[in-house]
Amino acid sequence: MGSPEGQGNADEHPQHEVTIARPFALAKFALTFDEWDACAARGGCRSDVSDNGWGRGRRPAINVTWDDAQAYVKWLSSVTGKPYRLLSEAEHEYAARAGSETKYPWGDDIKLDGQAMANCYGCGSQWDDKQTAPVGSFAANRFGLNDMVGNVSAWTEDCWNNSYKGAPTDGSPWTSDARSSRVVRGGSWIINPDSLRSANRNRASTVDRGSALGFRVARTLTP
Amino acid sequence: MALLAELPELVGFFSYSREDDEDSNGKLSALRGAIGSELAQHLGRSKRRDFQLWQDQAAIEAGDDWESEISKAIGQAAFFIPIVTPRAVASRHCKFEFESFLARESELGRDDLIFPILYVPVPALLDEAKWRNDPVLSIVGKRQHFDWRRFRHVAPETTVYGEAIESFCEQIVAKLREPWVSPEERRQLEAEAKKRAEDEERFRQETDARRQAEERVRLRKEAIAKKRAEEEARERQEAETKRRGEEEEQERVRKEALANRHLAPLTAAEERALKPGDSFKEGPDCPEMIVVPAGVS
Repeated sequence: MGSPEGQGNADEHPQHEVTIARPFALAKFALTFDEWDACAARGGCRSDVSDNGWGRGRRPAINVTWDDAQAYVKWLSSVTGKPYRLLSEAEHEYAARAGSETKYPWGDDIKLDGQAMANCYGCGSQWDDKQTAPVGSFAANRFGLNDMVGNVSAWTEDCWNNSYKGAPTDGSPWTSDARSSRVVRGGSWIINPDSLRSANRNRASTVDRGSALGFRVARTLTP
Repeated sequence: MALLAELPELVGFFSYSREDDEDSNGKLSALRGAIGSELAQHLGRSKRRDFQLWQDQAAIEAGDDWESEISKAIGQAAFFIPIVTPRAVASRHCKFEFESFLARESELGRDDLIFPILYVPVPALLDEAKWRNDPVLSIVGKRQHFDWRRFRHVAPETTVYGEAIESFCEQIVAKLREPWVSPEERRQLEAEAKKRAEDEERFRQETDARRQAEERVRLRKEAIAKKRAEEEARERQEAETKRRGEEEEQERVRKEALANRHLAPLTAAEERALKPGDSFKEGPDCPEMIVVPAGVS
């Protein structure tokens, strides 16, 4: 996890090994408006979340704060009786890489064989720098997960730290410092390819919201 | 191994032409007498008891069947002294005696028991092309012969004559004392050698047969072991294929059930059975979830 010495941004160091000891479940796609709206319809989530006029349905839910995301997983856990949650930063990078050690899940170039692999500012897709793409518009990675980088950035459970010094190595979220900034991961339609790297980190305040920020749910599995 | 000189009765044969003897006033008979006496002395034998130098005039009674008597005598002879003269060479009798002894000599397994005495010059002996073609002369020519021509007119009482006789007889004695394998001994030795060879051959064959039998047993054991190993491998393979097929079928049924299940929270059993890559939904409006494997990043 992180970037090798001399590569990536300062906050991606030190590179360190994280062990995900047990399988866990992760949503195949970023949470969609369909899913968000189902929660809103049952009173679990805010019903006034804007889609920027791009349409709802299978487009990823945007304009949601970290607290909105927490409200959703709380609601989902209550209706299913299962431990749904946001994913940790380490889980995000692990799941995005899906075993790869390259810059992007598919290689070191933003495109693969001339094909656009994601939606970002310079990814080569039809949505670049314009709007979100419906989820699943690009090929899944080796774990079967779509859009782990690009389209919308994803909230994670972790608090922001400027480096990995002292970070957990078991895949759990780093929440010891309860400052208001949280880690967001994956990059989005509005951002350049360098910020789509699997190792790239970003942050936002828990009350921030925006047209390029969504989330993806995880679920702990009982052995 | 024996010596001809040690035969219980030693017989020599003195072959000559009777007419030559008569024309020389019995000098050939005298020569036979002198040789016989000299040999008897050298061999330590008695002419009356165990040594005889045969000559037909002396040995054959009148009226006896000449050829059969000669054959009988030569059949016992250990050496042969032909007196070589033009008459003897031409004589049917002498030729018969000579050839009979050649057969006897061959039976004894020897080729050195003829001691020709050249008594009167034979012109054919001087011409090899001629003696080569004569069976008698060719033997005389090839083997060493004693030239008696210069003693023919020497009186038997003289030292020169006596010394010549002794010198001649020494050759005969030397040959009679050479190590010799009798025909019986030779036959016995040959039989023993043959038996030994047969024994060895039989032993070799038996050993070969045993080795071959052992080899056959070994090969059969190997073949059985190989067959068994192949059968076991095949059974293992079949069991493995069957097991894998059953597992695949179970997996297929499980995945199908997972995909077709009524959209509701996973049961504990369903959750325990999940494998990396599986996908599930826990309600109609719930996100589709993927099982991410454990691992290291």
